Amino acid sequence: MILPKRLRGMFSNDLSIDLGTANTLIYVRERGIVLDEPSVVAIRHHNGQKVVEAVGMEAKRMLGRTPGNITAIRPLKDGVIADFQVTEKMLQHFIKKVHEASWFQPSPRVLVCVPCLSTEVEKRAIRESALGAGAREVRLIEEPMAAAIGAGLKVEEANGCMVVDVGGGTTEIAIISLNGVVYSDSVRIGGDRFDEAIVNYVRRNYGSVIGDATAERIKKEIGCAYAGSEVREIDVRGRNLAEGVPRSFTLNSDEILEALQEPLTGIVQAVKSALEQSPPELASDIAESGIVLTGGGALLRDIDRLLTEETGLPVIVAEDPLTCVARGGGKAMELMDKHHIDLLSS
Amino acid sequence: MNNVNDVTESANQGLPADFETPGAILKAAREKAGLAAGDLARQLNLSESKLLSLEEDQYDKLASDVFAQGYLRRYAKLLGLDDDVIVQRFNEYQALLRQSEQGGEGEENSTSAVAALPRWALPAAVFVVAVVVLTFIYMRTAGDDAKGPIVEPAQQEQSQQRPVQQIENQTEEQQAEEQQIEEAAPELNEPSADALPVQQNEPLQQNEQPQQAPAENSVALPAAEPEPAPVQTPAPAQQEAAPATVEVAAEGEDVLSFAFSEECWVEVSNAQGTVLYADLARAGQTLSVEGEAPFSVMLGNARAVSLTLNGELVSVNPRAGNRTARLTVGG
Repeated sequence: MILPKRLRGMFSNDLSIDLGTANTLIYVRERGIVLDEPSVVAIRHHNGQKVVEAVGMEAKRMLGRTPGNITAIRPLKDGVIADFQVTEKMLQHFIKKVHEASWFQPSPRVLVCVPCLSTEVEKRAIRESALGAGAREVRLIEEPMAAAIGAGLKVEEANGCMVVDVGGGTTEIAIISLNGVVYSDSVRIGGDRFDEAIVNYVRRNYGSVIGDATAERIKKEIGCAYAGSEVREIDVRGRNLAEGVPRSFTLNSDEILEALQEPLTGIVQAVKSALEQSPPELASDIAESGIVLTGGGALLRDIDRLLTEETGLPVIVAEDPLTCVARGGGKAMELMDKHHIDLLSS
Repeated sequence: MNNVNDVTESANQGLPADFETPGAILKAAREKAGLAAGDLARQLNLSESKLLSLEEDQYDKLASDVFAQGYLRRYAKLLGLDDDVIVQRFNEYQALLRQSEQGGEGEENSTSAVAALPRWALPAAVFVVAVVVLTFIYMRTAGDDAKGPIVEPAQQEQSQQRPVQQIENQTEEQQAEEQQIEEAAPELNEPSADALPVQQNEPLQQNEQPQQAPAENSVALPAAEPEPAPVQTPAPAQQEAAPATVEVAAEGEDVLSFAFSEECWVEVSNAQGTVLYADLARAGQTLSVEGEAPFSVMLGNARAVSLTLNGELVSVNPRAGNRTARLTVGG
């Protein structure tokens, strides 16, 4: 049914989208998180045309298991759009999915979270793809700001708080006070880099190749960030490079800790440099209350302990860290409507 | 234990007596393990006062609930307790506190129910209104379309009928002839009769300003030309009507006669430029105009006309490929 976007908008919900490298989450006011799917699109090449075969969870299962005419791709890389058209298709699919009960083609107002330090071109790409996916109005918010609001921090107070959002592609660090970002930094280290590090470690030490999906499973099940934790083990099957046949072997969490050393050091360095650069008043606020960790990376076992040891500050993991950004985006949208302010510079 | 309960109870009245607050659980666990608050605070990178306010459930002394939860979790882990249980207890505690603070919780529920209603109601109402408006507009335009062809001929009837009116008003002596015509085309006269009530409003006007009426016709008619409206059938009466326009050319003795073999637009004006006659003539019709020569004549279909001035044949030679002819007759 073709109706003007405005009219269709009346039958659509306001969406807050955390368009992440690894996962896309959509939050709807009064309904909470309504969609949490991997940012993966499977595309079938048919007579020189690209047809979307599957999106989200289904497409993720195809990652690394596709025949020649299907490619499963992740359209976002390092927190920004790498494949514009596919991102648009993916958003379109997700927006439609959220409005399954609606009679009309949805045209919601959308708030999309973007990494801080993303360039104007990258922001524009996100804005355009959301518009292309049918949104009637697109607002952008910086991820750490949304994360802070979603975590429940009182961002409107004249009190500095520090948020570290460890996402799939990037780690965003921000110091927030009075509804604004005082300092922000973004390092391109995230869950993906952890997986990569595990793949490399296994190849180096076991002479076997494992896929990204297996690496992710290892990370989730036994991955840890701090030496003093409980040691866990996991059985893994990978293709042995020398023999060329699949072999089974056992990994333990200490090995994974060793594998993750490099990316973890990167994150610690970034946090330390943020603390170095924060204005003294805010630094004292942060020392008083601590650092809040959000994002999927915060689920890595004992990552808070690592940061506590390294910085000497209390570090806490927000409740439900995976959905913080999406929830915060939703709340930010309500705040913007209520106070008629543009909470955010972007 | 006892003093712990004292503290919590004094801080929070209205809680169930057997409710064990997260702070109380933690404090009990710490004392059981025989650890000093200061040591634990150092391990948690917290100040001792913060740790104590955690144990006393004074969470408002902390920056926000996020931190309270986070600290409780880490404290519980450090003491070897299940952190999820402690956080759940904390959430229950906060909910109970909120409940006891607001006695009139029912009001909130009702307001939230009201607030939830417009979210659905507004778009629905707008939609209904839009549908009604669109339907109305559609009906209107559809109605216009249906009326369209009816209205236009009616206007044409008016314009076409004026000469007829003149005839009827002015040439009562010719009623006998008219009756003949009516007999010839009785069914065709009926539509003109429909048009009459409209025109009867202005027969006087037309009598007073006979010249203007044809002038109006000349404007209206080109559009009417391709319309073989049934209304035009009374036109045969016009051949009788033409001599009736005597008052126009009262001073002239010249008689210009037309005989039409086909439908033809005729416009006759005198030397002064006054339009004496302008109308569509039908096939088989004859027309005579009295006035003073020279006449300027415009014929829409010149080949279908034989023209005589005072009984003498005037040749009408339209230019090749051109049906219309303009000519000056007499003078």
